[in-house]
Amino acid sequence: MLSLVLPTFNESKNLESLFESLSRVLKEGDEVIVVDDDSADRTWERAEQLSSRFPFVRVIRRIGRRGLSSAVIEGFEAAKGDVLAVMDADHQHDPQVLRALADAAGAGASMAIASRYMEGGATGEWASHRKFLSRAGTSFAQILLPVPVSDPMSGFFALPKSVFQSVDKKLSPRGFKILLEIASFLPRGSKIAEVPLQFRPRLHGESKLSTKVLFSFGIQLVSLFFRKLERYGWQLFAILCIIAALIFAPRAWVLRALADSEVRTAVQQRMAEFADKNGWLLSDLDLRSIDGDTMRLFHHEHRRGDDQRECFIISIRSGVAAPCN
Amino acid sequence: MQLRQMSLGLLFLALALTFFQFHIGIRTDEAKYLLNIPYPHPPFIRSIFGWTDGWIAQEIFWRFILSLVLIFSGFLFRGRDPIVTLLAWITAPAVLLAAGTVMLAPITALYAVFLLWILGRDQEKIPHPGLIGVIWLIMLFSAYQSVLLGPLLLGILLRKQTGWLRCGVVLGVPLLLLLIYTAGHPLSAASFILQGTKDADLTFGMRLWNVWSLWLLGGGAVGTVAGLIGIVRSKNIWVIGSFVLFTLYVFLGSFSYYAIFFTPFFVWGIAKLPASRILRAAVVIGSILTLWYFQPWPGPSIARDAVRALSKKEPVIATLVIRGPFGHEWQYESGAPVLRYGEDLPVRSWSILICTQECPLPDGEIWKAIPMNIPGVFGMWKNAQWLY
Repeated sequence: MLSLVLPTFNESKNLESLFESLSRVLKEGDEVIVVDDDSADRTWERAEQLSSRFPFVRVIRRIGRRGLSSAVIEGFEAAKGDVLAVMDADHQHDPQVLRALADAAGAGASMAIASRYMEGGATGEWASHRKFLSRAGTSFAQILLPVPVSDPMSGFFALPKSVFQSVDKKLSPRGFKILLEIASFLPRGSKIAEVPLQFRPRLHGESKLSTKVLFSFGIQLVSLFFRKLERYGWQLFAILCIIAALIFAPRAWVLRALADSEVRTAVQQRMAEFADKNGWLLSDLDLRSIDGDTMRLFHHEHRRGDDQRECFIISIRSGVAAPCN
Repeated sequence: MQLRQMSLGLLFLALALTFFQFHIGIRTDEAKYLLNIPYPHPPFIRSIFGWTDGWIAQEIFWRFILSLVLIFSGFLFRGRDPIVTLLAWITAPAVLLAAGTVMLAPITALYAVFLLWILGRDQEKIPHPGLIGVIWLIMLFSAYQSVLLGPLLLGILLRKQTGWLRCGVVLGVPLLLLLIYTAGHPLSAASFILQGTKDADLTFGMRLWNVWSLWLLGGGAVGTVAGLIGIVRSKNIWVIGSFVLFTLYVFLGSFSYYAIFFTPFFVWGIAKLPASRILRAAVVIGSILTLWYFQPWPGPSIARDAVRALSKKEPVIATLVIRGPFGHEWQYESGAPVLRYGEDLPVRSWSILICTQECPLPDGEIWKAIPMNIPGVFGMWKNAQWLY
């Protein structure tokens, strides 16, 4: 049984024609769940009216909650079917593709995605800047996902309910690309089916793409990046610790004589004398090594930009200093 | 819409505090970090500042970034009433005084905010223990006082159901690396001892008063008390553990800018309390009263005013020689090398001598007075001789 979730916001004019198209595709027992974010044009009310003509329609009206991802998650959680799907309610997604997606998900694919970026697919008549943004976002997202997906930004996909339930608790309802969120939790090697999608122009209403949405997507990508990093958590920790040890241990080794309090006192005294004599601050001197009676240090002027440094060798016993050769 | 308006308001606040601190000028600690001077703190954060060394906008850039991050981090506190926690954060005297500064105390506070946020997340959303180890490594190599956040790290690891051996590795290996780093930078170790003995002459009562003052500046009069109640009621031993460690730390030796260490804990405690509109107004009023009582306004930096005034009168400065106490802010502000006056210091051509305390008049044959009226500068002379 298929449960199709339609997240809506001010899409009341699109509903009737969409339900008619869906009625030709859906099978007996399938359901459509309209999840509306309390639209100003009362999309939820229009859907309820139409449900008398289209009995497969159910409506969830969300008051005080907004966001595409959270709407889809809420719809999936309320669904009764064993295959879940989501598509846009603005006619940009061809309902004919829905059956192919549902069949693929029902046949064992972890996800079935309608892709604009495979052979047979198309983005339609988008402005060049929107095409660029979509391509850029797609490229970043592809790098971050553990499974190969040609259109990770697609809002038209299906998946078995069991797959959704396995990731449900980990999902963040923030963001507007729920496919990205779910796919990021799929194990490597998961079977992904793709069906070509010809993206159509929206029938009625306005696009929801805005600066806020783009910002939200950016945050989602950052979140995905850290999630990907998690897979290599121990390795990253080990590598950084080894690097730190390789950088700092040699210097600690060449200054090991400082463990002796007498040496430490003598070194401190010589450095203070050397600094006083030249008018330098003690913190302008950088002790680099101690070898027997001699210590090697650098003096930094600590000026902005052009920071000159000089190397000196100083006898700990006599305090005589000379430039390094 | 409300969130957008709030964010705009916070942006303006961050900008205002940036310019406030910029107007005051560079402090010696800020100069240390911006110049990437290798003491007293480990290299991570100051190295990042050092990437912009020589850039004319270095100071204002970092002031703005840090101010923005500090102010907006108030959104990370999740409680029954998000408005009261945000208000408690942005009106906390310590935040108002720290935002826009380039210091490691507010960065340590940001780390505390971040850890408290992670601690409050669902178990599935807590990062992998290896990543927590990376975070711990970064924190320790940013500022030594981050070690006081150890209990929070342990709490996070245990919430993630990390075994004790792995907890030990995650917490212990970075600490060991920090010790190794310190062994190779003896000046850092020396600064610890200075810090630990700074308030050695103070009585027990005076130290307690210092701690209490820092608490009040950290949370404001009402925020501190409400925060303490929330912390105690939470019975969260990890949060209480870190809080106690910070308290002991400032008990041993305190600076006014340490107040920011406590703000994350107090606001976290407030988030645990029942929602109350009265509390919203009370925290704001409490902060205003605290600021009025303590008047903790930072004094202006003499270095900037002096160097600017000097540059207008003397186009050529080869060396700045300072007699009296001075800090690294003089090195930051001056385009010329800065030296400490000593009787045996060779007099160099085109040098400027500045007294930052009462000092005897220098030899009139060599030094010519520069008329200058800058508070904190007791005299300025130039040596315009060419020495062959």
